Amino acid sequence: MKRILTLKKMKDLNAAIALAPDELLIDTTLLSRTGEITLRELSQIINQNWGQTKLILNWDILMTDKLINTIILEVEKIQWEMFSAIRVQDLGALEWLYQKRPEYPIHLNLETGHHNRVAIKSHLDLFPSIKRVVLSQELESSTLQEYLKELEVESEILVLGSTLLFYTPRHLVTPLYELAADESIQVLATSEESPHKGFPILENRHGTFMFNIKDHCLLDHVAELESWGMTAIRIDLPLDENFELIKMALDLCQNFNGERFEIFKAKYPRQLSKAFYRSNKSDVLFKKLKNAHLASVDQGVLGAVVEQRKEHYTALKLKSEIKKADLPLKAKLLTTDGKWIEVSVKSLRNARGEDVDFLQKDEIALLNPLRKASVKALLCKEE
Amino acid sequence: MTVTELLSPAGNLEKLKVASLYGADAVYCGGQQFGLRAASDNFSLQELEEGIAFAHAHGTKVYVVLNAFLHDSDLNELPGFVEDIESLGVDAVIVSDSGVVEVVKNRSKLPIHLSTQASCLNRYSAQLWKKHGVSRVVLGREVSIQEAAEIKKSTGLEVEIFIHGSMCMAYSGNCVISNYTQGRDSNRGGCAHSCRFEYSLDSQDYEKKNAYFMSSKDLQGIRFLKDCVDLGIDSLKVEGRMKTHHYVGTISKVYSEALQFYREHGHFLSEQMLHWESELAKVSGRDGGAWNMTAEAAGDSIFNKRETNEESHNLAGVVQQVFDNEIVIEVRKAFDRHDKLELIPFKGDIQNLSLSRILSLNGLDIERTNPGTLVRIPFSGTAAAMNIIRIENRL
Repeated sequence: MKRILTLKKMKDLNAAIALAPDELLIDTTLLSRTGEITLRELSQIINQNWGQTKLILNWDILMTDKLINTIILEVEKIQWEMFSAIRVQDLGALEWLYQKRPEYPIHLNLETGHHNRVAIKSHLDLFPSIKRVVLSQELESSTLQEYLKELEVESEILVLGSTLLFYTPRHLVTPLYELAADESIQVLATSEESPHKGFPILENRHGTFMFNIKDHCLLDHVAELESWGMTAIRIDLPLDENFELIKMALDLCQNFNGERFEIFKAKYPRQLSKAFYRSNKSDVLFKKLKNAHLASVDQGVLGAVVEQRKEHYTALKLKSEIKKADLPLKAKLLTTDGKWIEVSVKSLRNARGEDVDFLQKDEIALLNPLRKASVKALLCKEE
Repeated sequence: MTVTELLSPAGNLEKLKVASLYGADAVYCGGQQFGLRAASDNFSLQELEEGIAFAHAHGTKVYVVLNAFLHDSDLNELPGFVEDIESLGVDAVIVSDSGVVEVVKNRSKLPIHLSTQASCLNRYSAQLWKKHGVSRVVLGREVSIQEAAEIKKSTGLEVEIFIHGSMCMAYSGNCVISNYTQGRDSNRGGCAHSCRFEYSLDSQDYEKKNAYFMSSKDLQGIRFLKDCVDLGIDSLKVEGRMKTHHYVGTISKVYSEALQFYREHGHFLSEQMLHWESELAKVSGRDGGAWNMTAEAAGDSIFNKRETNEESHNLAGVVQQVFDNEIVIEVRKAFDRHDKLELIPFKGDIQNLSLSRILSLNGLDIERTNPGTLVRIPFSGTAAAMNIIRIENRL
């Protein structure tokens, strides 16, 4: 399994060489969200003796039409042959690269918005030059295992590093401090409306980024990922300042040991999380926001209660015609808390209180007061 | 020549009717699954059938949103749902996920509109989605009108942009704060709106600040309708499936009237523009502006305030039935005879509602109405069921 590190700053260059990963992702100021390497400095990086390490160019910013048309002029000048592949996230970058060089290897970052195999396969079918997909941290381990059985290209996942929560091209922090928009600034954000404190915020030329307070860590699952067929794992930390930690992490990836992992976690400067690796139930809570009882009724609705005046009337907005000749009418009331109540409709008046022979759909009907009726309850025909 | 479409939100069946009656050329709505507004009422299949019949009878198209990013298990019920809605006569579906695109293509002949949630921002991305089979791209809110026109020209795809409403601060689809902080998948309908919270910002180098720094002001693009029409933008979308009848009706009426006026006259009158803007101000919450429609949104696009409900007008009720010299209103906000109420007709000028009497349905005089009740009000003007009654809030 290939071990990948990320080079974001020139000051980390020596650390990158010393750590000797299988692949090194190069984050430039122009093309990547948080990189600080200029295109001019790329040649200095390329000219190092990298041994077995392969270099991958990271192009993960999202781009409006104006921006991508500016950026591709610069990308065309890059010596692509010096890199083993280019990694993209904006699907426009994928399309442009494929049009330009259909054979050039592409690593497609699918960490956002690709959580089903049909979606992943749809891109692979269109672009044979995709040689690797970077899978989402939101996928459960069981799902990853299934995907890895089927994928016919290489696969990669983050096993140590920060989780991006929010990405905007707008400059949100510098205006507060009256700084120029091209300045870079880092702050920690805490909201009283959230139990979590100290979200790292970074603003740079590409916009504003918010990261999770806990870093993502799957170091204790690398062996199983490898056994399922994961081709590459990525550690995404600043190299120089975390040199010893990264060495430990790389070692744990190859030879996991529980005791050394505990030491690693104790030394790690932030909290660690597996996020959704064990299970992803992030669609469970909000299903409760809706009234499932009422949403489930589709047939035989006479109308919805729009007013209830006990001892006077139940007002119904009719969904279908109702006739005086059909009275008394046995019906069922579906209350807002999901209970079915048998009721009898005995009288029919219009919204002015006048006796009528029939009322049509969308008219207001005043019925005799129906027990347990409340606004939004549904009156349904007896089957 | 492109006839620019006004596309309004329909959070439920009643709002669909409101949007259609107030002039929307098309509406978008969600079923009980697969959309991004889990807390909205949404439509059962029966409601969708009724809504489509109503909309089509009034010349309004209906698009169904399937714009969640689905996990594998979510896909199980999708093919059947796609077949069901096609049989009901839906005009198109709005999709974010390329997996959903594949299912729709394989199970129906429905036109596919790419949701803004996919953050399609440039011509190359649009070309890729064209290969996937979409016929229209709803471009990211970061794209200018000029860029949208160029994307249309270079791809041959229909383009849709947002013209009005709340905005995500993040690139759509690229915010997962809710996922990690509240266990609610923002890309499957569970957004907790964490961007609207107040945050305290700490830094070693700068003083501590409290700010709503991730909250975006609203979009209001009416001043740039001319550019949208002249540049051939196919559809102008209004955000707001969770918003009130008042919002849906007012926005649909204002923008449809403005589009119609421009089609007929080829220009706008400044006095009229001021009138439309004053109408929009009655339903807007967060200081609207054009932002990315014309240039990159800058620091003044941040709504650095606590959210309030201090609107000048609110929805007082919806006309349910019209009799000779009398209307029946479903009350949404309490009012009494001293309040200033106005009836918003589907077309034409706003009408004052004189509250000489307020009657319950059994004919008793009422001093003050209660939300969730029906009342009768004498009215000799022109009214129709589903007309909106608004109330001017007292200072």
